[in-house]
Amino acid sequence: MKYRITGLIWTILLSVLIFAGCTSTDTSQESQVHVSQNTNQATQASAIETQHENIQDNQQVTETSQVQATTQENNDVRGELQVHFIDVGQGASQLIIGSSGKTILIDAGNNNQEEEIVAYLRKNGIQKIDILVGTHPDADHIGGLDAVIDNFEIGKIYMPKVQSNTKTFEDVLLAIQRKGLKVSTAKAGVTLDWEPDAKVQMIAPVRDYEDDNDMSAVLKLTFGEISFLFTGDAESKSEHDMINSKADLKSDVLLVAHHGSKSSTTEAFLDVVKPSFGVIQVGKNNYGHPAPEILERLNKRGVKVYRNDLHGDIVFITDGKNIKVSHTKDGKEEATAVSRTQEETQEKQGTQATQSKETTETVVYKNCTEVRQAGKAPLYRGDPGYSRKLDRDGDGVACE
Amino acid sequence: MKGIVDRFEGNFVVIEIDGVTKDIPKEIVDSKVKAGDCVVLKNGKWITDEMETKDRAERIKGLMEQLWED
Repeated sequence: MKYRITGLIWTILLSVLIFAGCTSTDTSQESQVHVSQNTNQATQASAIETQHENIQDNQQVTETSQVQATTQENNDVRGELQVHFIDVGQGASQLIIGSSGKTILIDAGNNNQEEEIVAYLRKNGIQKIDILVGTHPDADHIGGLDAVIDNFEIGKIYMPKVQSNTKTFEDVLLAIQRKGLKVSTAKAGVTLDWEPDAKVQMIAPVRDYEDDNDMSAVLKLTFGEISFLFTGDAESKSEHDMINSKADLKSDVLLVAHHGSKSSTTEAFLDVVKPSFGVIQVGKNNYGHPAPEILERLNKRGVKVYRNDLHGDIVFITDGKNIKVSHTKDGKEEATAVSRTQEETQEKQGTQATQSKETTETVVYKNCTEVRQAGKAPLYRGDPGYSRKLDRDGDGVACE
Repeated sequence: MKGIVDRFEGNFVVIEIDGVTKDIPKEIVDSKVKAGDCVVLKNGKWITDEMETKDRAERIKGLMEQLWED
């Protein structure tokens, strides 16, 4: 009995000591975090100012709109949350900055965009990526991740457990290894530990798929009454399973999956997501992205669409109730014409614009037969020779 | 010329050549080629190099096993 009591006292003493030990370590870590966050925020604030100045030169457009509430959870939000859809040409990259300055980076564009991504993050005062997500191993999504890992402090990394054999993917793995980091599997049901006033959940992949695109990590971010859905390259199979998983998919802002490809963004998916805004991360490409039928589908539902090829970098800022959108290009269609006519070269925008304008003025087709004979069908709005006469249904594609 | 298949997009096969992805028309890629294959351009057609694909797949798999924590 005496031994038992002594034992009990020792146990209590020991627990108290351990507990005290833990608490003190926790506090010091926490304060460190706060300090570094404060510095982060300070630099961030000044960087944002400069960014706005820069943007103004490029005729920045800002629109504010009140969006109907989707959820009533997490109403006690502080400050603002920013979501940047970075213009990486044909590829994808989204940067999320929380109310206290914590960050999430989803994808980092193609290999040839990695310097731009690093510069973009620096310009926005980012020092640490708290959560890095590679949605799936295709090069146009993970290409720049190695540069991000090499240049910034990284918290946690999530990727679906899908193999690619490219050097691009190997470079990402080697960068992770060099930094002594580990990867956690991205899959439906994972809740990310991030800002206390925001909810970040993985909605997909719900199961394993043969197709890499369907293995894409899909994230839903909720901040106050506003929510975003980041879909990677998820296609109709994954969309179908997300719907059946009964996850709450309703979102104000939808990243239109797979660069607006016709294999994604089904009517059924739009029925449950019910977005007010759609963002298409697209640049010059040979794949027909975005597909005219997807643009039409979004248009019919009154979804306001922003595209990196037309709007440049697209930034959503929300206080949990309102959404403010700003972008670095004016959204005019000419930009697409430029990218579609210059298939091979990656010259500076200025040269491209003049060249394509010259061609536009000189080519005239009487009818679609002439277009087909010239091997130019279909013609997209802004292509040399495109005219409304040839595009009777007015969907921006003539002689299809 | 050698490369590694990154993915398929519409009428193109995206092949990584010396670390840079290129759009190659499907017509000049052997129909048996899959994503992840190491391929080689022979007589105007891209075909799979089975041995190299196997070696590379094993190496990347090993690297993934070291890095994934779950």
